[in-house]
Amino acid sequence: METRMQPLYVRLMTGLYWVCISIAVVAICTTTLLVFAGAMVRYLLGFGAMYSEQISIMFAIQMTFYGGAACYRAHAHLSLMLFARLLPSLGQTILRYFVNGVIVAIACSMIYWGIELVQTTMFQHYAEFPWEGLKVGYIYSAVPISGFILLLFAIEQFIYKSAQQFHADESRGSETETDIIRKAQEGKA
Amino acid sequence: MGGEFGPLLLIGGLLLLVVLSVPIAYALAAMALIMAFTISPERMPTAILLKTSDGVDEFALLAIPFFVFAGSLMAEGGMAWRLVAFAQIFVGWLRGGLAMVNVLASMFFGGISGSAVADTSSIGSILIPMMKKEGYSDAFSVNVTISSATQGIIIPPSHNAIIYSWAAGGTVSVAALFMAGVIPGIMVGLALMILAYFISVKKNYPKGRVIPFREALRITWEALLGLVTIVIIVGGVIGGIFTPTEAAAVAAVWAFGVTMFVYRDLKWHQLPALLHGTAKTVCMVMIVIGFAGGFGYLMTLMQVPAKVSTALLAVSDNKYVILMLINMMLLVFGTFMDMAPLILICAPILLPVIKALGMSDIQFGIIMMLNLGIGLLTPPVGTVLFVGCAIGKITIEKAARELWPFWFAMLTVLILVTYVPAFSLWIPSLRFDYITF
Repeated sequence: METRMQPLYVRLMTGLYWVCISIAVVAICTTTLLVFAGAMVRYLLGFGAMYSEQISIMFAIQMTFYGGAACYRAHAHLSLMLFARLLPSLGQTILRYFVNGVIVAIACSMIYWGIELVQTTMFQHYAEFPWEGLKVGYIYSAVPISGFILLLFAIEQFIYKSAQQFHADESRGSETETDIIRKAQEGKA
Repeated sequence: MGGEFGPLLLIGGLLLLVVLSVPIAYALAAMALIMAFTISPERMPTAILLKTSDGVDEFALLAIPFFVFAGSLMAEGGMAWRLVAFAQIFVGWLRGGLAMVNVLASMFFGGISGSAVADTSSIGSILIPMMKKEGYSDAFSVNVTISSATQGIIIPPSHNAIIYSWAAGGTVSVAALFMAGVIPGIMVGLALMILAYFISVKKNYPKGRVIPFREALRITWEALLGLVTIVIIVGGVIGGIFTPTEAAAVAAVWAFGVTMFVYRDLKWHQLPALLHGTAKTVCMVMIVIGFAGGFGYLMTLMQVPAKVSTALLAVSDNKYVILMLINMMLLVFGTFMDMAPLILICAPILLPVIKALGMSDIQFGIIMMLNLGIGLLTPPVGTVLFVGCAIGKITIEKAARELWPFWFAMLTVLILVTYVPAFSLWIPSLRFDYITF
């Protein structure tokens, strides 16, 4: 399906998906270089890089939550589809709505309690850094924001049944293990 | 706290949601949040989200994205066929040479990727068509490929070892787990080679050619550049030069340099797609780990591990009986679910039992990974089996019918590793004084 023929909401979600994936990719590349540099500096210059560990952990949190939301949209999540596949078409549709309902509930919980988590930790700063401007709450803001993104993705799935096709197009050429397995199960690989 | 039925609701609810095809990460989140809400609606759900964030707030876990990144680069960057050529030097000339090459190449590749699915798709897409062309049966070609791919799970580096270490509360040394996986991994390889040899002799499968010395030197040089990755990771960690996370990052940078500037099989325009795939693979594992952190916190609060331990030890106090029960249980679970979530859920529950039996948590880690690796070959949810069948273009039924000798070989190794601690603990005991057997 041509991208311009997709509804505006789906196109927006595609954009949001790429933002999430970009965050994850940047996090992976940056942490790889940071940790590599940290190890090299320690051996070559004889002292440990001061902040590389803590900064890498911060990136890991962003990567996990934003990337996790993107994985949901791309159907790149670990799940047990065996029993769902045994159901007739109507049963599978009902189950899909149920799963989306669960995701909506979790996304709302992540937003509500995630905001509370951010508020609670907004007064704490990282002891590893000499400045106090970087609050723990900023890093944990990934929880409610990714919850909101997850909610938007779940709404997209509720409204547009054909969304699965869009995901298949988007993930072309960049297969994950679940993509390979799904294709194998469908006899496409 | 949900009273006596709390733990039952927690685990039962999780299983129900998983069966209803809710993504495992969100099934863990849903049950943790529901139970937390029933305990204290004001504070507990926030605590669960905090524990979820803390779940990935671990420097050691960063080794997972780095290993996956290095593995993807090596798999897409031409490492697989170089390892196949390298393995041909050693065993290609034997009867059933290509089957032996398949097992040995998987052993090498497992030392780089640590993923059975990546191994099957990389090595399998080269060797299965080659084997079929040389007259090996479809089912045999697929079965050798998929069973040997499971070596990657236990041969270091294994990102499942990092997940296990985390699930065990960070008390199990990743370096010790890496060392513990060496002998069992080689045992699986040897068992499969012996089996493949006998089948090849029986079915008169062809011998391969002897690689001339000059050609062998060239092949070895090309493969060595990739195999240095194993030296960086395993040597670095075991030698105490790097932490596993640092070793993984160094390996990823090395893999990038070798594939992009030396092999040049991976083009720059293919890199965004590779990074996209890597990000998805990494994030789907990390989000499960994160929510497993929240779920695990609640399990501890509800004393689920202690209760399961008491229940299991009530069945029998004989170590061998309990180990057999645990192995059977894991084999069944492994046929339905993926490895990472099973390690994350089962390790914290079963470890108290293991400790009560006086058994090493390092040995148990290897048993668990080997056991769940067998599950990847077993229908109805044998992920590696599915991928192998798709590459070999045969039905799952056809492959499964002839898979039983391979299952038997792997089960034999599993039993040996379960009941003879030295197989997994001897190498780590040379480095760590506290490990005895």
